Amino acid sequence: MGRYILRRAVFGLVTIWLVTVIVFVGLRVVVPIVYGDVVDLMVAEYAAGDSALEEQLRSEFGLDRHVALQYTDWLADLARGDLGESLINGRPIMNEMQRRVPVSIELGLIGLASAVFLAVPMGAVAALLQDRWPDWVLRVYAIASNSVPSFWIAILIITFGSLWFRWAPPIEYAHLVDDPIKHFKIILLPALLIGLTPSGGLLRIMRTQMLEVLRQDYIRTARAKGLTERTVLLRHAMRNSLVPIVTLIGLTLPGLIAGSVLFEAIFVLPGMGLYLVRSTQQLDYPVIQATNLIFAMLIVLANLVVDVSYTFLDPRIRYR
Amino acid sequence: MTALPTTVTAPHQRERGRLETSLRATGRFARQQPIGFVGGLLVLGFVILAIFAPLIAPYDPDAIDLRARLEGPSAAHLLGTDQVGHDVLSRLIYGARLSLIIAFGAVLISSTLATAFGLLSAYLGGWVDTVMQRFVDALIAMPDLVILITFAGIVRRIEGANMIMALLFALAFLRIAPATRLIRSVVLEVRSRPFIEAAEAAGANSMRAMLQHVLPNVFPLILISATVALPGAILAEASLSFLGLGPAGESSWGQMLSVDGRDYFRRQPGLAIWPGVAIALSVFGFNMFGDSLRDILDPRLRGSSRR
Repeated sequence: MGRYILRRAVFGLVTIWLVTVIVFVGLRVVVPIVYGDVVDLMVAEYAAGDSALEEQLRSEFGLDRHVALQYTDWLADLARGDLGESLINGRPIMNEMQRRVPVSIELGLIGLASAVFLAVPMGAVAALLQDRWPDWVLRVYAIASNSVPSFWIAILIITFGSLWFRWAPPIEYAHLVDDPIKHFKIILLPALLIGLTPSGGLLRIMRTQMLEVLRQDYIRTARAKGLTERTVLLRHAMRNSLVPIVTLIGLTLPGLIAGSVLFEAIFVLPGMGLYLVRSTQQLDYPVIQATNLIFAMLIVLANLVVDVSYTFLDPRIRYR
Repeated sequence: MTALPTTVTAPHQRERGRLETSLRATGRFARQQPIGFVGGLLVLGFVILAIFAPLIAPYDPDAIDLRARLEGPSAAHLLGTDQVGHDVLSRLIYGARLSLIIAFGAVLISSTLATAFGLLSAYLGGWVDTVMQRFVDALIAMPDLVILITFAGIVRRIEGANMIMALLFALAFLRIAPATRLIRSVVLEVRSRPFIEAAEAAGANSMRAMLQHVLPNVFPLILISATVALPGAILAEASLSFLGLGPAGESSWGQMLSVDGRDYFRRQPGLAIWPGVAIALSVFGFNMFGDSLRDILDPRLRGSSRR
């Protein structure tokens, strides 16, 4: 078990490292060749043709050094927990991240929780009432949630909420520690909407699994030995249907975390997604690198947690 | 494909026979897979809209008519107009074109490359296979949408860059790893079947056996996985355009819902409704069509989504 986790962690590190290399090379080698670097962009806006200023900025940002050296510098800073500073406003990225990362994680986690709490009972109900009308309704829901983009639902809610009920999402963000009630008022709707898309797939898997499990011999045995229907369903059927759900959670997590970008944009939430979108527009190298790094870390970590949690759900699975 | 029974007909009957067979096959498809059939019709509809957009669209999608801003549905503008007087219907039709070009292009390129990589990885085996699969592992675990946003955001700043091609190749790149993994596993499975062994025993060298015998048997799966990947690509383009990172100046469904027009949705709610309907219908169509294609072409997977 310990060795398995260690091996997965090493693979995860390789993935994260690969992301940093791709982003670094793309940003600092490929983009300057086809277009120009961040200095070209800055100078073109405010002081076109001032080559002395260009020189000065490049050496200030360390862009005059070899790319490999820039990369090792970046890694060395990273090892000390320093993500560098924004080239645009000079603010330390670490401070910014400390405020922004929790927002994105919170969105993703509430979204995931709402998807699971919706899908698991609904999937079980659909299986128990197979081919009766609730089953059909839920199956249509599963198909629809896979096809209807959730950012469109958000747009519809905002548009018709304001037309019919004079309701609008709050514009000003409140942090959890400052004003919890206001915070949840703001974050709940986008977080629930994030869970909409994955809930359909989860429902479908849960239904299929329940149907499969309900036909197993041990369910008949459980009923035969006089257990209440409640115990049979909750203890024996549901629990055994959950393993593939965990797999699917692992598969949807990256989309969920990254999908928060869309909702940060719609509801103007100060998470990592908006930070990333803005930094790409300004070619703010260190910020782009840092956001990609942290997204990659979150996703690798989430997958690791999912893999390890199999063992708790299904005692038959033992890793070596 | 190979699984469907074919009837032998005399050469002079072949033309009529073929038409009849395909009509009958379509009828059977409609009866056995009603939802898949509806999905297929939707796919066909969107493909026709995309190809014949200039003939079907009532207006030039970029034509601005400032005297007809934010109009509701009328005989002149069936779905109304937006804040600068673009005809919404025409923009939706051209949006189908953009969506499908990017989705089909990305899936075509990634399928071709993934097939080559999958075959090579499975056939060469040894350290080549190991190295390729470790790369695939790392690529699969990467945050797709984040990379895509980073890429699109930067390319968008580059003047004169062809954003459509850039998105197309970026989406293709992100699909290569998972598709390679899938195709490799199927190649390994097909290769272990007796008839490949027989072909190799009969003297076909492995390259020849691979191209002549393995590839045709893997093809249905390549087709299925391509169809299943299309809706994801459509959604990805819509999401990027929605964030303002799509091709500038093109009619795009996601862009129509983006922040540019959002102030006007209250006055003309149709602007918020129709692009979303277009995205949802196309994604639904491709999803359902792909599902039933899988049921028909690959009996091994049958039932996994029908129950």
